[in-house]
Amino acid sequence: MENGKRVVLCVDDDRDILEQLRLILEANGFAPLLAETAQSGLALYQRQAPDLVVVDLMMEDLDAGLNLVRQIRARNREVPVFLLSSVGDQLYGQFDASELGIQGVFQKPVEPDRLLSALTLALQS
Amino acid sequence: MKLPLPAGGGVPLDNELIARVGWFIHLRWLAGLAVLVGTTAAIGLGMEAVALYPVGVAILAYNVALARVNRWLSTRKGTAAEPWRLLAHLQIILDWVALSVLTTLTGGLESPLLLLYTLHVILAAILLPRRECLAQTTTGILLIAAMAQGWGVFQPAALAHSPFAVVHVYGEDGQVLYYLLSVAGMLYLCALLASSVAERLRARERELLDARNHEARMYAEMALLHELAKSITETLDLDVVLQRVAEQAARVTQARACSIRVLSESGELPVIAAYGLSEAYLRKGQVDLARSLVDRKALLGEPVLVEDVAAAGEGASLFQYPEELAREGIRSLLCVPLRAQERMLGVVRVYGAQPKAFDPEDVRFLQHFASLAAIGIRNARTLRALQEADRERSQFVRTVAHELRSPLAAILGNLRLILQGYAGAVPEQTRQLLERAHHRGELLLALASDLLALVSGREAAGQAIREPLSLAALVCQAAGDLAAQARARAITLTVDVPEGPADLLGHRDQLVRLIDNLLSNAVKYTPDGGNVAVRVRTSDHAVELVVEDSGIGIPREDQERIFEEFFRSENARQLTDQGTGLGLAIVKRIVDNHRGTIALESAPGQGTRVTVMFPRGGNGSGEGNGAGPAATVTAG
Repeated sequence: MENGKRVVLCVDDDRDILEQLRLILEANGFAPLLAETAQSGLALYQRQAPDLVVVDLMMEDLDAGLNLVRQIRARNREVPVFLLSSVGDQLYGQFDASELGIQGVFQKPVEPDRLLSALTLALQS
Repeated sequence: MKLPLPAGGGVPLDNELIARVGWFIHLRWLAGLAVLVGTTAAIGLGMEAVALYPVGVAILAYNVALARVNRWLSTRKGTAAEPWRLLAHLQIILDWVALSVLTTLTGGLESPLLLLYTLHVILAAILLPRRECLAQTTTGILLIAAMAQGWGVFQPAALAHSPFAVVHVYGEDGQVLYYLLSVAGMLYLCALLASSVAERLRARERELLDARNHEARMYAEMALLHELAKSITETLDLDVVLQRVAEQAARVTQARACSIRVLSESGELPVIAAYGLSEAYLRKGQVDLARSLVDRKALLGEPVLVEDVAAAGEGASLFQYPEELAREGIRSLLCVPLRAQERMLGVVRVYGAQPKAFDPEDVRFLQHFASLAAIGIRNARTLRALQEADRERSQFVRTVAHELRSPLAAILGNLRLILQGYAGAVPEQTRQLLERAHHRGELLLALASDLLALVSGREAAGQAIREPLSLAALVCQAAGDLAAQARARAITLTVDVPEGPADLLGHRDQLVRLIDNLLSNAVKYTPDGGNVAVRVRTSDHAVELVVEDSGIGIPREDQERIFEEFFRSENARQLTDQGTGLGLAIVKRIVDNHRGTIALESAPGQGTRVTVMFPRGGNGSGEGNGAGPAATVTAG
């Protein structure tokens, strides 16, 4: 929580996507935290303790997104985590979503309404 | 060549000899009895013939011994003809002696039994080669000469004639010698004539035999080549083909070992398959063509047969590694070219543990075999090259699609935000242009998605990543995702699936894609207010998925091409530009990957029914079999 706004950490190596997330989140009363690498994302997470995390599944390497989620989960089992996925990402068989506590997967390009309703729902519960 | 000859083989000439020896023994029983009966009759006629009895008994007695030897020889397996030939000689000699005694006792040169010598000469000509027949005839003539004198011994009064006598030669000077020479001349003439007839018969028989053997060998060779061709062409896996070729080549030529060397692009000749060679030998080093005359010769197209590797001079000049060959215990070698359509691929070498292990038949056969093997190798290589090309193409498509999707997602995301007012108000005309750009961008993203699905499907072909899945659960999930879209267009979406756990082994991503493609196609091409029904049925051996719609249908002429990549039927194009023409190609690929079948029934304006059958795997049969609908999703 920052100035009464919910803090959402967004990690994606695509700066355009990060910018879109920032626009959507800021316009809807969230405080976005943006990171372009898994490493800086983890540092931000540790420093700012966000209310929610959105992570791109495939960043600089295949496992970067999932490893970040695992590291966050090792520190906090409660914080809601969402994944961003591109066309062609093989979601199935790579990880157990329930084991990692992933609340949902957004397909890129992100649809603002779906993103907002899912985030709001996750933050309410 | 060690090809198997047909059963019942052996050499007919030898068989003939063996049969004649037996027949000769049978005939002798009659001869012995005839002597006894004849003697009795002669005594009855008042002749002095008692001395003949022991001869008859002796004939029967030695015939018993001969019959025993004959039977003993017959029971021995794989006995050559030689013992029978000796037996034939022994019989003839014994008969000569018996006949000579009989003749001596019945009047010597004057005896009517003298004629029987002719019979024995004919028998010898039938049984034995000409030279041996003449030798036997000479023996017979010497016995006659001895017997001519013998009559004198038995009858001191040289002029006395035997009561059996049919001619009178004794008692006059020169008459005996003259008669003896006549008999000898006649017997030689008889021997020459009979043996020349017999030789001619034998020669003809030999020709027939050769022809038969040749035919049998050709047949065996053909059968073997057929077997080899079958075993080589059964698979297109190059390594398996080569291993089979090496094993079969060694087996057929009864070689100790075999190696196949294939020319590399850099001109080396590495061993790419081997059978029966030690690791140490295989590790001896690369073959340098400049130093391996045997391979160089074979690569020029000529087979090279080295009968003795250790023979002076040969080893040093022919082989690059003569010492290693010797250490490996290789004493002879045959090297033939591997050639397909005039292109030299390499060589096949077979190695013998003994000198002269291979004959010209082996050379000929291995050449046939190598040309067959070369075809197998070329086919397998062609397939490998095609697979490699296909893999490279897939990789290229994958890279392009992956590179496209990120900027596309960013572009579409930006457009969405602009259209939804995140960047301020949008004038109406700008909005329209942006909406069209967004629509086209989505089509492009769908194409990238379909291309990735297609190459993933291609790459997954032959992979054994199979997890137990419930087709029914996947169908419910896909129908759930489409329900809102169907409802918005007043399309009734009916799902009819049986209850039950996992009902086939499959690839989850692919099956999700398959169901999604079929269902979204059905919804897309069904007019508002229409019907789409999806049904899953399981039987003991198969799982059936049926997707049926009341949509625009597929024209008959397009139905054959509907599973081709990038094909869209004309009525589908007219209805919507949303479609890449890859959806059903992906479906077909996924069905193939799961060893399933897909059938399509469609009529324009009436709808389409797609039926997919998957062979059933996983946990037993019967589960969910015939179960009624457990979930029905209806939207509309």
